[in-house]
Amino acid sequence: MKFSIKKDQNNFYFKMLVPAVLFFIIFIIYPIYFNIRLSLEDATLRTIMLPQRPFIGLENYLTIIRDPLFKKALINSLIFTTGSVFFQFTIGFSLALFLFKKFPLNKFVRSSIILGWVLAPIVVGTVWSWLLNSDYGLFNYLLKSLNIITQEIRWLTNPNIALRGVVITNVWFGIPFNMLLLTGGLSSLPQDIYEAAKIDGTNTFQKFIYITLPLMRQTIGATLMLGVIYTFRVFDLIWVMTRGGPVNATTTLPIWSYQLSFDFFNLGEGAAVANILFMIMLVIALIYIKFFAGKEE
Amino acid sequence: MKISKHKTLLFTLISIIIFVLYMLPIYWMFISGLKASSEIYSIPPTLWPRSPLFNELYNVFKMAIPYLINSFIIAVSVNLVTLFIGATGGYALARLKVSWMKWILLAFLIAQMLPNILRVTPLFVIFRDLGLIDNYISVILAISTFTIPFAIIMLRAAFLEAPVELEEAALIDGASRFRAFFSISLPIVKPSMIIVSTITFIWSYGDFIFSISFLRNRAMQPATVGLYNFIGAEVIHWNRVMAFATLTALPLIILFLIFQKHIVEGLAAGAFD
Repeated sequence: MKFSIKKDQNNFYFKMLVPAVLFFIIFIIYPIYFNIRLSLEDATLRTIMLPQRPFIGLENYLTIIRDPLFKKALINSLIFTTGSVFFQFTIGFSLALFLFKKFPLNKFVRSSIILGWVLAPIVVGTVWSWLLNSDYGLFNYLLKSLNIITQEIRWLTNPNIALRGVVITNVWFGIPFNMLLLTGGLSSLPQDIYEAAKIDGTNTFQKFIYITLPLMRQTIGATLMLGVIYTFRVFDLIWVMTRGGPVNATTTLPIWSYQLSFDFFNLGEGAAVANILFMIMLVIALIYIKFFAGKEE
Repeated sequence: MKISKHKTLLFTLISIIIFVLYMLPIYWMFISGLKASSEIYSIPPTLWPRSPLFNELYNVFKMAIPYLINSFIIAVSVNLVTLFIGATGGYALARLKVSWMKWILLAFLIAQMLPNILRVTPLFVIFRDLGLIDNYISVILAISTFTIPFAIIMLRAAFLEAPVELEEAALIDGASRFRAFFSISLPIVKPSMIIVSTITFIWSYGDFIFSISFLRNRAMQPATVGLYNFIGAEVIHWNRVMAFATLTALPLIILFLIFQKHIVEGLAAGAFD
């Protein structure tokens, strides 16, 4: 009797799992497999309607790697990611530390800043395109009134500078995420260590270097890794601001993959670029999961 | 940590400066949308519109309405799919005691981290073959590929806290297993359901890549795609573009004001699982 209840119970749990497993196989696993197959096929506008597209092995990958744009897109991706993560993290951590002190408005300011994360990337990209407008944008105007620059910077139209323009935007967008995760880490620190340090006469800087940083190692590592994972895949923000231009100055791997698939309708090559990106991200994600995931609480 | 009185004043002042600096882009979006075409290009820029043009905002609003409705159709539908599959799947994974659980959770965690660019090309070909291009279903399913893994991870954690004994009591009273799940355990995880629902709304409302790739018919496009096309069409009228951006952002800002606590919790929990 007891055994049959147990069995019946497990049957019910398996039944409840069916929608999730079906969805996962059809819409997540299958597309990944499909993308690998697509990257090995001659999938262009000409062949896309055919029931059987020609299999061409690693041809798409070879074409991609020989293309000078591959190196450029990879380097752009690396610069975009390291630049964004470095500043998001530094500013986010400073804000987390500062707003962790107790004074009126600290919680209000902290929770208001989260609004940045809520806005759609397309809205953020649009607003910053206007702020960074060379002739009439607020950003150049403020820099000029503060005498930091004398001539307008063409943030999004100068090929040597455009990548910095999108990084600035993405830093603004990423600050709340970093601040929030690091605040979480700060609030889980044992306060009595600080009390003891105070008695020993340690100053603020020493406390930060010798107590806060070592104790926060796990949170800091996790925040940086997640920052890299979420920044490496950014598409919307760059697409709305520059579409990868001017002259590919802001073409990252996701942007290039999309252009190949949807502008040139070379779906095989677009899939190949996406798979290279996938491999890079999978390695980073697995490192993150191995060392940081689930160890927060 | 206690701090002295004049330090408190100083810190409060600094925090006001931080607030003003961070909010400046959002403020600038609002007021740029209320300026006249001539005023938007004046140098120095005006910090407050000389005479706020609400009728211009209204004109853009009339154009934006169909796009906003589409955004809501997509966001609400993704929410329904995500909550259904997330709740049933999260429940099953919380209750099943099997050795391969770790691998399932790992798979969902990786699925959540995958770049959308990886899914957009294959899903486009798959949906094209199924005749689902220019159909909301394609976009709803595509967005669900990253909201569902998040929902399952969040809701599994919540169901782990829901005591199985309560359900057993209901079963003895003659309720079916599904009824016991639906009317006993589901209400217990309501706070987590609200978090999942809010974050899902933010993500699906903000979707761009799937909507612009799968919805070619303008009458079906959401506000994000509408805004993107609007920039191209109105390239010299930044005031009108900012008005459109304001209207696109407004539902998210309202959502933020109501569900701030849930968003903060979801953001932290979703990131770290």
